[in-house]
Amino acid sequence: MQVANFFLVLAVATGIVCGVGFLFASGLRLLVGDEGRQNQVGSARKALAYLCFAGCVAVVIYALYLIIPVFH
Amino acid sequence: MDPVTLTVVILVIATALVFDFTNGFHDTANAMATSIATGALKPKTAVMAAGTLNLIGAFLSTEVAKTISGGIINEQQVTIQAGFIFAGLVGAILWNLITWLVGLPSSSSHALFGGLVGAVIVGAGVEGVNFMAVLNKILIPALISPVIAGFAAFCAVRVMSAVVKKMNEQQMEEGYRHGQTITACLLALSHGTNDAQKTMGIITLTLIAVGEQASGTGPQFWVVLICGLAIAMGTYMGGWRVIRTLGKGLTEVTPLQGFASEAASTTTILVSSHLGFALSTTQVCSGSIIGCGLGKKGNAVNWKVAGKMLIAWLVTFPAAGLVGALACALAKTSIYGTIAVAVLFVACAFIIFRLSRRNPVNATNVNEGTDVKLNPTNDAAAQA
Repeated sequence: MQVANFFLVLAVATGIVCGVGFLFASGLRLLVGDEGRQNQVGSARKALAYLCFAGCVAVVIYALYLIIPVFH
Repeated sequence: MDPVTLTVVILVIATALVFDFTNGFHDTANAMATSIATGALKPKTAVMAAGTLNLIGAFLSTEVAKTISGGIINEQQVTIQAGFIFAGLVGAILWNLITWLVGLPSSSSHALFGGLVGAVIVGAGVEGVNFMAVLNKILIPALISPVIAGFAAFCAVRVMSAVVKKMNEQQMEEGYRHGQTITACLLALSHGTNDAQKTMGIITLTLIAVGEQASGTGPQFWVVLICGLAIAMGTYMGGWRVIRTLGKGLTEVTPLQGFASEAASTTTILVSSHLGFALSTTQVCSGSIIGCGLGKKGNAVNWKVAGKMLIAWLVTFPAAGLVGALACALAKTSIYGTIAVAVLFVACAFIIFRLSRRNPVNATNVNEGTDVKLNPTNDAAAQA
């Protein structure tokens, strides 16, 4: 395995995991609200939350595309 | 086919399926340990899901490698005989069972390659082994892959912790438990599309070698079916001892950390495969669990257990190789030598199984305790 490949996998994997993690965490926080302010979640926040989760779903679908050989 | 060849082929197929089975229960922990530890999935539900996804994965991906060893053995210079494969499998299975007994995750792929290399060295000579490939495909990835996954998991935990720090902890953990269900299933599916294919490849290449199948053809349906079922059954049986080590023994895992660990493992495996080289699922998952442990401030990693795991990974290849070499040395004497190896192998497997019964770990007690002991503690023994 060349050193360049190692750094490439490191960079790509870290970027994707942090990106998905950020989206999921943001979606969760937008949907549920902060401690003591759960009933202040408006429809705009909820819409944004679902958008974040949609991003996560898109990544999951792409992961399935990579996992299942018949798709590529 | 003459009776001797038929006997050896049957032994190879049976042993390959046993290897597939041990591969299944050894690797259940990779996908499901953190989900079981955090309560995202009940133990039996988790292994049922993992077993089903492994079976589905086996059918989704039936393209097998054109070589058994991935270039580690010079297959153009050495004819890999059925006897070598049998001896190599024996080495791999026994190493899988030993590491399972002590609850240490280890790479089934590396065990298989190690067993094959040991058998080839005895059966065909050292020139049959490509040692540069051993370095590039076994040793270096064993050291690097946990670092990659660990770093990705560490960063993800830090990022997510910063985002959710003002949330109600209970609601946040509930959300991450749902997320873990998805990431764990993705990891199990990914495992299923990769690991059963090794055994399919072994059986197919054996059938080709004895003339029962045309060269260059893929696995027959019955081969796909029995390999898929073997790995699924092994997964369902659940390597509870390894699950305990990964889920509880390395570090205390919260749902957020479990999500990060599983996401990092899946991403690392998929990215590296997409770039053309495969990393061990076991080593990646173990590294990501350590990384997520370090990512949470105030969390501790059990470095003693991590150290044992690292030693197990480094020893896997030579240990399986040694057993493979001994098995090949006996098997190549005659058909009776081969049968003797089979008998000894069954005896060793039985002994290991009996040892595991002294202090069993199962679905009902997998989360009780953080380590796997061969002998029960005084309290447990008194209750028994």
